[in-house]
Amino acid sequence: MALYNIIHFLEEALNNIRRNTFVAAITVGTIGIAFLIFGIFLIIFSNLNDITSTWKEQIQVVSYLKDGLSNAEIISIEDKIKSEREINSVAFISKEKALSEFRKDLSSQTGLLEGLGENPLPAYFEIRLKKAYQDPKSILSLVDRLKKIKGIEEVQYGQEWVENLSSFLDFLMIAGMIVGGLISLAVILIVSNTVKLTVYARKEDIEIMKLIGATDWFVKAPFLIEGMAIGFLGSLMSVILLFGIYQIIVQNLPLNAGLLFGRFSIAFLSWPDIVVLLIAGVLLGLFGSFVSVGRFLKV
Amino acid sequence: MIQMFHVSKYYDKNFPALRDISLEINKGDFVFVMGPSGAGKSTLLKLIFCAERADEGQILIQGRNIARLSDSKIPYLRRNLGVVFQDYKLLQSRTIYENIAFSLKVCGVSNNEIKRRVYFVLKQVGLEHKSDSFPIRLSGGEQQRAAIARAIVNEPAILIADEPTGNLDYNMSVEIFEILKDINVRGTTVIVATHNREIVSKMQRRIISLDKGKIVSN
Ligand SMILES: Nc1ncnc2c1ncn2[C@@H]1O[C@H](COP(=O)(O)OP(=O)(O)OP(=O)(O)O)[C@@H](O)[C@H]1O
Ligand SMILES: [Mg+2]
Repeated sequence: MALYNIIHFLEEALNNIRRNTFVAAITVGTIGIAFLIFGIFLIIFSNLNDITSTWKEQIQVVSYLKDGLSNAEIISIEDKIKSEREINSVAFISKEKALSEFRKDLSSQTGLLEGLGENPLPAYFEIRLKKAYQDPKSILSLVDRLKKIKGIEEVQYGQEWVENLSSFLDFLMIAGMIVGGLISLAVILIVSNTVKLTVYARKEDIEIMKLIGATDWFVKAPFLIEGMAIGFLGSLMSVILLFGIYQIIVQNLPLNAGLLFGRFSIAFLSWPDIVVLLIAGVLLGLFGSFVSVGRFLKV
Repeated sequence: MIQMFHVSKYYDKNFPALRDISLEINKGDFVFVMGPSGAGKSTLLKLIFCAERADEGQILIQGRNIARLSDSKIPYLRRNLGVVFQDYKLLQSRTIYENIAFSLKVCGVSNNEIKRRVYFVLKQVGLEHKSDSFPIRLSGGEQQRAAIARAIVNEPAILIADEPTGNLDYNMSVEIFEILKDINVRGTTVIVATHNREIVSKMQRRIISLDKGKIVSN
C-alpha cells in the first residue's frame, strides 16, 4: 500500500507537470530569476568578505623597545608578549637589522644616514595576530597590555587604518544584512506565491478529488512533490545562469582589475552555498504548495 | 439505509436552510427530492456526503451516526457513496478513463483491477469509445454519463445526484434517468434532487418535497 502510494504520488506529480508544462516552465523561470538575484548578492557579499579578511591579515602590531636592554631582558619581554592569547607570531628585529632594512628602503638616498654616527633606530617586535582577534577592539586591548610591559617604549598598530577598516566592516555587515534580508524576503514571497498560483489554478481539482473520497494526504502529496521539484529546478536554473554570468564577467575583466582589491580573482559560490541555495529552492517550493493546498482541502 | 432525526442546518442563524427534518430511505429505494429553488434540496444531499454538517439532529448512514464523524474519516464515508453533480465536476486535465480511475486509485485498487472495472462501467453508460477523450471534447450528456460512471465504479451502496440533468435537454435527461434507473435495479439506493417534473411524474417513484427547509410531503 505504501509503495503503491509513493509510485502513484510520483506519477501524479510528474503528470501534473507534464499537463501544465507551460505554467510549470514559467514558475521555474520566475523562481530561477528570484534566486539569481539572491545568488548575485551572495557572490558580491562573500567576495567583499574575503577581501576584507585579507586586509585584516595585514594588520600588525609593532612594539618598539627601549635602548640598552640586555639579551635576557629582551627574551623575557618576548616571552611576556607570547603569553598573550591573541598572538599568532612574534619576530624580533634588532637595532642593526632595523637600520639595514631602513637603508634598503632608502637606498637612493644613503647620504641621509651618513652623518648619523650612532644608530638612532630602536629594536622592535613585529607581532601578527590570530584570525579571531583581527578586529579593532581586540587590538586596542592587546595594545594596552603591551604598553604596560617593562622595556617597551611605544606600540604602533596603524590606528587610522584599523579604525577605517572597522567602520567599513560595520557598514558592510549592516548593509549586507539589510540587502540580504530584503532579497531573501522577496525570494521567499516570490517563490512561495508562484507555487501557490499553480495550486490555485487547480483548486477545483482539489475539491473534486476530496468529494470523490480522497484523503487530504492523497491530494496533497503530489502537489508537495511537484512544489519541491519546481523549487529545485528553479534554484538549479539560477545556479547555472549564475555560473554563466560569472564566467562571462571573469573572462572579460581586465587582468589587473583584481589588484585593486588586493587579490587576483573573484570567487564563485562555494559548494556549501550552492547546496544551501538548492535546498532553499526545494523547501520554498514545498512550503508554498503545503500552505496553498491546505486552503482548499476543507470540502 | 439512511435515517435522519430532527435534522436542522443553519447557514444563517435566523433562516435555517433545513428545519427539523426526519426521514428514512431504505436499501434499494429510488427517491426524488423536489421543491422550489432555495428549498434546501442541495443542502439535504450535502449533509449525506458531509459536504455540509448538520447543526442539529442525527444522521445515520448504514447504521453509522455521521453527526460527529471527524473530518479525517469523511473520505472513507464518501468512498461508499457515489455523488453526481449538475456541473459534472470532472477533472478537466484528465481523460475520461483517468477521471473514473481516480475514484479507484483513491481506494488503492490495483492497476489491472482498475482497468477491468473502468471499462465495465464505461460500457454500462455507453462511453467505451470516449475513454481517451478529455471532458471538454464531450457533450453535456456524455460528460454526465462519465460522471455517473465515476460515481458507480466503486459499487457504492448509495448514489446521490443533485440535479443531474439541470444542464441537459429533454432527450439527454431521459437517457440519464434511464441509466439511474438501471443502477437502481442492480440494487443501489438512488437519491435524486431535480426540477424535472415531467420525467419525475413518468417514473412513478417516491418523492420527498421540501419547501423553505421543511418537508411538505413524503
Ligand atoms: N454555502 C451556503 N452559505 C449560505 N447559505 C447557503 C449556502 N448554501 C445554501 N444556502 C442557502 O440555503 C438555502 C437552501 O439552499 P439549497 O442550495 O439547499 O437549495 P436548493 O433547494 O438546492 O435550491 P436550487 O433548486 O436552486 O438548487 C438557500 O436559502 C440558500 O441561499
Ligand atoms: Mg440545489
